[in-house]
Amino acid sequence: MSTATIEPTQQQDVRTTFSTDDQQFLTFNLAEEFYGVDILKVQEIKGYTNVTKIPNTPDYLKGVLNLRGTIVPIVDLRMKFGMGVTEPTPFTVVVVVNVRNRVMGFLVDAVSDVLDLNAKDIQPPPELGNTVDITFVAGIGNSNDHLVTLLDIDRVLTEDEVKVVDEIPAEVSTVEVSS
Amino acid sequence: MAVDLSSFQESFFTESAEHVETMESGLLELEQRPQDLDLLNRIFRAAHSIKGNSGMFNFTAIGGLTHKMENVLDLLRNEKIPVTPHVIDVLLRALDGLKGLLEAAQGGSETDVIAIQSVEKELEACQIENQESRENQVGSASPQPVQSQRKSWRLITIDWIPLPELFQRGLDPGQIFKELHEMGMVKALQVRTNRIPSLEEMDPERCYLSWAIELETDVSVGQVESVFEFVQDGSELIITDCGSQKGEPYKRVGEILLEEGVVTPEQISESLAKQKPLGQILVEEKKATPAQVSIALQKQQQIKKGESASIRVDTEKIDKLINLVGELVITQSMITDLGEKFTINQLPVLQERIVQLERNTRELQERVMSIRMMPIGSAFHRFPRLVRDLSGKSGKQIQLVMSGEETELDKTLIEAIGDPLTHLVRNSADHGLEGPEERMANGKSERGTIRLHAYHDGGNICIAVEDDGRGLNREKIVRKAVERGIIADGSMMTDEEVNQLIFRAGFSTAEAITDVSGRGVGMDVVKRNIEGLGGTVTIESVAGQGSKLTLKLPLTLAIIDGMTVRVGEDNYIIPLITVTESIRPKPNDLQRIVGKGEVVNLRGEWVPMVRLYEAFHVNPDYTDPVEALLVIVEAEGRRVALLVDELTGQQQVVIKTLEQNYRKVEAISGATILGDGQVALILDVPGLAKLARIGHTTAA
Amino acid sequence: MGKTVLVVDDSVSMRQMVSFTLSGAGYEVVEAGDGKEAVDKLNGGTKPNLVITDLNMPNMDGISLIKAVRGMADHKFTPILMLTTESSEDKKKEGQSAGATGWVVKPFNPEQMLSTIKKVLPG
Repeated sequence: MSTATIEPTQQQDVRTTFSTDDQQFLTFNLAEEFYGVDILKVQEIKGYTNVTKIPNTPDYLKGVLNLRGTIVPIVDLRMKFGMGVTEPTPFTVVVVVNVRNRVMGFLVDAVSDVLDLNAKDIQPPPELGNTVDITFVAGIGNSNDHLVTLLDIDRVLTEDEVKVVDEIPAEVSTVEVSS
Repeated sequence: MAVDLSSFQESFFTESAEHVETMESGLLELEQRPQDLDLLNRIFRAAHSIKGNSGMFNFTAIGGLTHKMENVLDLLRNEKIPVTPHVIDVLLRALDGLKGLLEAAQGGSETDVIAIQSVEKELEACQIENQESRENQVGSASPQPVQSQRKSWRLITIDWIPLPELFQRGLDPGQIFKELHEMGMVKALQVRTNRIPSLEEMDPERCYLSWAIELETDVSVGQVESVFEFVQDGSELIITDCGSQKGEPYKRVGEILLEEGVVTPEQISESLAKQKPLGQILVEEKKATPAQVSIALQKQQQIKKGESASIRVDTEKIDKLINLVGELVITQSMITDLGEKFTINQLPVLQERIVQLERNTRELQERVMSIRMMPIGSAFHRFPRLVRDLSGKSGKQIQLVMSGEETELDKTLIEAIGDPLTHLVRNSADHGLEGPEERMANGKSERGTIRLHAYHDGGNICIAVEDDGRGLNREKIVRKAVERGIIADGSMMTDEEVNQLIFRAGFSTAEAITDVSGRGVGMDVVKRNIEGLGGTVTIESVAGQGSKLTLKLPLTLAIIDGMTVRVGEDNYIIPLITVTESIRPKPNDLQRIVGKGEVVNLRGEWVPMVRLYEAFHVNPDYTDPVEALLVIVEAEGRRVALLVDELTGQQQVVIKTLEQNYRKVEAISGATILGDGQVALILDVPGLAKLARIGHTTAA
Repeated sequence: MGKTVLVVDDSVSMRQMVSFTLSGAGYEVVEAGDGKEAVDKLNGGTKPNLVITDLNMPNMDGISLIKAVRGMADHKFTPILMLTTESSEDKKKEGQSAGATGWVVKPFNPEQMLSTIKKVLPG
């Protein structure tokens, strides 16, 4: 296995999220690819139901769902990663996660497994140049001979994407002339 | 034991605020009814409570000031000095000082020491006015027990004939003997029975015994006497010091422990030094970790900021809630029961129980909401004082009449309407009411009246501020509006439209800038604030007779009446308060103004139209307004027509924010959950109205 | 078993302070907001070993409460301590003739309060 040959110096490049030795990841599929998120960030997994669309929001924001009285935004991860729209199937699920004190749902094709990884089995994200944005990739793991992209869930949506208040342009003029 | 000391203080401050309010409103009333002894007693009791409690928390400055206030109040109460406007003035100023001290104690502002001292002097002066100033040495809270000098061992004899009612006062001679025991060694305890009467005369509840005691001790006669503190009155007590004793002195427990090495001298003196405020002892004894301390500090910080969001709830309300929850649980278990062995012929029973469940739930909802409900009176409290001050400054005679103080509304709303209401009352006093001469000249009574009236109207609360002054002056308003460029000269306007002008930004008719109002914060701010709370402001005015401004507010911010509309597959909620009507337009009512978007003719007025499906990018059933429906909504004084497919109903909806987990979305004010669990978005009507206008201007 | 003390004061903070002091010393505490509530509690079966009451209270003041307690067969001999703000002799006398066992002068510290209780509460 290639992972065994990592040099200690390289290990230090691994993001600090992996400071503990053993970590569990929830893995899921998007298209044919495998992804994983820190299981401690996952609040629950929920079947996909119809969402309420929110006007004038980015395409990857599917809409909002009612999760026991809380309004939870649902992000289509395929759309977010530029892999096209998720077509709901019986396996489509929403992974509900806690991100920076917010509850959000990520729409994924299917949940596959819980993966135990030791820090030394995690590789730093590859260098792909400036063409591909990989700031939300925390590292690469390996499970049963396939690669798992470990997501830094806090970075999947930037602070701007969830927080910025859309400023409606100021009124041009408040003076109205009655006729 | 982890103790949150700040929580005690918090309730002290809450209580003190209530007492201050009682005193303030009481003093103002007292001026009207100087003979009202009940009222005086109430004021006195409030001052007394603050004094007493402040001592517990070592707020000596507060205690000192309230003590002086209390002295004056006591003289008033005993009719030693008369109730004069001057005394009331001084007491009110002292009250202001007290408020300042309380704020300072909560970590707020700096205290104005000079002001406090000067008002304390004035309070003292009030007392001196009373020639027969009694030597009322109340509450000199100096801790008296000074550590007594170590005395040599001696024999003290005690002869005690207790009062016969000893038992009836809950006293137990045994306790006294026990205490004596702790002071030294009781060498002899002789019971005398000579006072026991014959059986038929004997009352078993009376004490006929008496005692002679010999005590060997090192404490003073005074200390021995203190043991009998509670029984002295009515008892015969002779305590004699028979001088020093030889031999091995009796040792105190502490000394024995010390000798045996159980404790160190430091520990003992530590324990002896525990004449400290509760706070200190607690902090020392709970052996808190630094983390706990810092959490406590943070909590205290929150309280200092005045943002602690606690709410006082009648226990009655809570009890009712508990009962309701009990009912709910019963109903639920009945349904569960039914579900386990359900047959179709039990359907009526099931339906009946579901109805019951609905009723329970609805009632529970109402009760829970009512916890946040408080009488509006707490927002009214400040006005008697305000009006008194305003009347003093302006030389106008003003009478304030308040009614409906018991009307309940959401706590947040009460806090939010305080400033707008103050502004309206100031406005009435400053602009509305005339001076006494002018009033007399117009055949009115010298004294003007401002009425504050709160009442429920459907799902809303209305608060009216009414005065019997000169009313709005049409010419003056029009002239000002033209000057300020708000309207064009020669505009034809109805009275109603003219009145609305006072709500426009940059409008103020005050001829003289007084320190009362007319300082830039105008009626436009009032209107904006009220609308921000989902309410409206209306004006009625009759020239020469006065004007009336009515604030209409929802009872709570959390629930609104909504109209549900459908566009294609999506449902939206429009706040009902903004909806004026819905129409299906005729083809020639519609017009596209080049570069200005679309407008619809509403009885002669052209109202901009927003196609919701365009604004929200969804697929509607209809794109032609003639086939669809227009909902006319009004916000911030502007009307907009919203194009929707269908009205689907009206219902109360609970507002949920999108910002909690996502962010603010343009033209959407929030979301709610419908009966089927689906989320529906609530339209932000002012936002949509802006959108409509931007559409026009950007297109131009 | 811990002894029960009925604490009567219209001031919540006072009540909290007293209760806290007492429960820290191992007493069970029952609270009442005024004399009337206290009487209701006593009639309702509360059997305190000691009553501590404020004097200045709405509805029913401390003196009336003391008289009322002394009139109850069950509580005739229960020790009653009154909380007074001033060391005024008048109030003490009034309280004593009403049947109060003793008093604690405010402001007091927990030690003083506990030592006074020890004076009157058989233990």
